[in-house]
Amino acid sequence: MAGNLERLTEAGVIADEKGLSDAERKVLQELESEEVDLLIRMREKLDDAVAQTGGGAAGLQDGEFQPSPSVIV
Amino acid sequence: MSELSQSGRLRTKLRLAEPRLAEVARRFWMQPRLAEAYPDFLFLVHSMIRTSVPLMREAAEVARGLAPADASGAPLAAYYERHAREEMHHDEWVLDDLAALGVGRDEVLARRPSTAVAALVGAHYYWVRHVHPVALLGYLAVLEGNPPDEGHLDDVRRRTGLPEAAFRTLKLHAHLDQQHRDDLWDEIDRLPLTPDAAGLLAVAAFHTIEQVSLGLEEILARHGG
Repeated sequence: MAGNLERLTEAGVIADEKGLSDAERKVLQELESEEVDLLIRMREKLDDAVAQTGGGAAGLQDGEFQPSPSVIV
Repeated sequence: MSELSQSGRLRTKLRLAEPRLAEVARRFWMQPRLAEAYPDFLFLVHSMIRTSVPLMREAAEVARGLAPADASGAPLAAYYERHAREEMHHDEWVLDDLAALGVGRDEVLARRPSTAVAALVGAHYYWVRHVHPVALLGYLAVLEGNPPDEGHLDDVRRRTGLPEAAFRTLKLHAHLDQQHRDDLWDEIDRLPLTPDAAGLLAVAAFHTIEQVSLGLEEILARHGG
């Protein structure tokens, strides 16, 4: 059975496993299966949205987008 | 190898989930009919913000009941009580912002909120009451974890031509949430979290990202975005 890192990388949740620090790698290796399943499901929805709208996530850089809905609480 | 803090572990998990919300949010803010959609966004914000104080009070009460057998009970209760006081009346601010757009209080309160909001808030009531009140920290980690950017809000205001008064809540949170975010990370680091509680916290955060994304997608669909 594939480990968390393999599953997340295969699903595209992790773009480049080599970019992870050892501490981050440990966190991801210890994820519960429910956490992994949810992350993969969200990635699938993201990929579907990008395919339908013809853009978006592929060009999104970390930190590029700031207007989060954090104002909600 | 140095271990990450408890908040660092959560943030590592959130970084993997956030692209889902970031992609929808980017489409929302870049849509050509943003001025027409913005009141719906504020309605979505109000639908959620009106539940924050009652949710935190509920969580505080449940957490208090867990102490002293559960070491996280007392600090969680204290945190939720304090933060509920900080968040009081923010729903009124959003109503004022909507009024600046010509949307009256009665109209807002009579409108049925999105099922995404019910699924978001309802799940947290369930987790708080029937699993563990730590779940609500996952909700707060998403909603307060990335404070809005004031420059972006100015850009939106210029692009839409909407009045400054319609952005008051967002602008205030651009400042307030920076402190709230730091307080939240500190609180998570101080809590005696079991692995199970840390997992629940992350699942609740992922659920929050998904439901807020769905709420934004509903608005986009309504406005042809």
